[in-house]
Amino acid sequence: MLRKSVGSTLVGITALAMAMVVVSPRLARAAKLTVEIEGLKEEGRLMVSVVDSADAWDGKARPVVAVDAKVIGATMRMVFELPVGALAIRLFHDANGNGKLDQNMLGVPKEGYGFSGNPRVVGPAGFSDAKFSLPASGAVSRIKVR
Amino acid sequence: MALNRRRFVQGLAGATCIAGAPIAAWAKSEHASERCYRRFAARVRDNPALDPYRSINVDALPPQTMRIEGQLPKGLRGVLYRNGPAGFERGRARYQHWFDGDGMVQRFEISERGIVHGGRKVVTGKYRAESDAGRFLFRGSGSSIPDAAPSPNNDSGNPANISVVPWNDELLALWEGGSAFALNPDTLDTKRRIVWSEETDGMPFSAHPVLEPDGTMWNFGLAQWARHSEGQGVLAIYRLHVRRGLEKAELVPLPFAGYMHSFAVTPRWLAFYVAPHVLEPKAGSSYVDSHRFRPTLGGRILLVDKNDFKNRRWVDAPAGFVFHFADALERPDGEIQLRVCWFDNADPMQKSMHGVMCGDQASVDETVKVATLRIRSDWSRARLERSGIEGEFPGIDRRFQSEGGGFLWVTDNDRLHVVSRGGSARTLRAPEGFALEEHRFVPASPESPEGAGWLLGTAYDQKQRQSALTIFDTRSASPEPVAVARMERRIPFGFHGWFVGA
Repeated sequence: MLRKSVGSTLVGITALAMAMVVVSPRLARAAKLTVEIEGLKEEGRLMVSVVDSADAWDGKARPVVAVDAKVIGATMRMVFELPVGALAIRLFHDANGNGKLDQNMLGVPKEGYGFSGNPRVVGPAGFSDAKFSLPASGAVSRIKVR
Repeated sequence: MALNRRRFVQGLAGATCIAGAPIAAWAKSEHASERCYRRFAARVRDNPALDPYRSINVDALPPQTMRIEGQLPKGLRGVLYRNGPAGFERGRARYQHWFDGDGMVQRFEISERGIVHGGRKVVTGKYRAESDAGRFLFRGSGSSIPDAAPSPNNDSGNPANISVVPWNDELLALWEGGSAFALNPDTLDTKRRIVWSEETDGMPFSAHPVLEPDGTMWNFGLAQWARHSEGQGVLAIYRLHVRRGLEKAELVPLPFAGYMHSFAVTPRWLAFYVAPHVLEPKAGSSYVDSHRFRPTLGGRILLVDKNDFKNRRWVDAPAGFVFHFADALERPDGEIQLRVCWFDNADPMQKSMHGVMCGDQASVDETVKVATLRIRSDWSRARLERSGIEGEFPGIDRRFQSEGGGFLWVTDNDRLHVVSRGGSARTLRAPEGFALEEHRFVPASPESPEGAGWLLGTAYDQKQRQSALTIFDTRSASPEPVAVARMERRIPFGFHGWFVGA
């Protein structure tokens, strides 16, 4: 159902309407990040990656965590245990399940996508547009799929 | 596109006094779109010059027979289609830029029974979503709205409001920043969004394609936020065929963000003028407002070989601004001449429209002249030759398009200036109080000489406060229209149309 690429811990993943079970192993300098994703069509897969640097955002370094999950509701919630500090999330909705974000030849997405903070930028969002700080007390990030 | 600039500036100046600006102070918290709505509503009542910017808030205008004054020419049979922004308001929010209104296609059917007018909005994804929501959801290219949703792609804000072109048995409603939409030419019902190919899905597709007699359509799209473009413009160039669809699409990086609305073709080249715009987007600023006109950069002409899009020529050109090309001509000695409607700056796009949409007086210097950009045969530079003819919305007799440099006309408030091949000019005049829009040429017969036929287009009669259709005969000794058709209602100013003969 889901794959996790590197680093940290994905604790739970649910459709928002369903009961969520979080089992949270306490890691040193880690905090709980809840990501709520809205505006999904109930088909295909959801690809979420969390990065901690501009290099990782640009694909030059590995993400902190990357998740590939089946879409199970119009709204989904994921709970991570992640290192505190600067992070940014980006996701796309692989509606046709071909494993990639379909784009036209200009690079404009043809499938849904979103970023932490839902920045209003024209053109591709950068790490600084989506960056937020995860405090030790944890955080919730609500992302609207465009 | 501000074809009635001088007229409505004059009209507005008077109206401000008449109306006495009966506008209450507003709360600071009022959104710009709400302020615009209120100011326009307060001022339009007493100012006929603002009538053509009233919003149409219904999906369709039912067919209505027009009242004809004069003689409807017997040889003139067919349908004039016109597209333009028409839906400017939802709730108490009003767009602040004319270009943002939801497109409505007007249809004028001319037959033995007279002229019947009807209109219908183009049902884009944007239009459908905003109709369902009962409010604007997406920012316009030059307007802000409350609680705007992020725009995920080019089509999320696509109002399909600039022009129409017949294609196979359908009518394409065209914007320039996103996809075309296919309409039923009889009912004007929207059938679908056009996807020419997977790779070009959702890409900008201009409202001024050039059609050739063999069924080829040339077109372009200007993108300013393409992958890796770093704020520079990227030009997409398309070759399509009426039976085979998209045959070729290629991207050309531009030296700066640029702005392009139309282009021209010679038998060998596609010719573009890249205006010296850079983009400086600021948080909250619109796409239009993000443009900075930088005359010191100079303009550029781009020539692209029709047979090999990789074969390109860049030519330095004077700095200015062009919405519309009339045509292009390649002389035997290699000089290329592009006839355009030339502005010295980009004010018509960036400044004028805000004022009039919100009921204010425009205060821009906006002279547009027919001019020729002459490109030396060694491609080293282009020289600008201004004519003395003022006007916009140029047109040519498309039967002679490949020759270039022939019959041409422009609209200048209540007049049409007509230039014959060889250069002699005359002026046709509408009745007093008329503001003419783009006119289309219909040859008197397929064999008639170049420019011999009718010019027909829409107009707004500020005296009667109603919309009209004017028909001129270019062969007539009289400068007056041979027929004026009136409707008992108003439609907004539009942009561009197409005549499909019966």
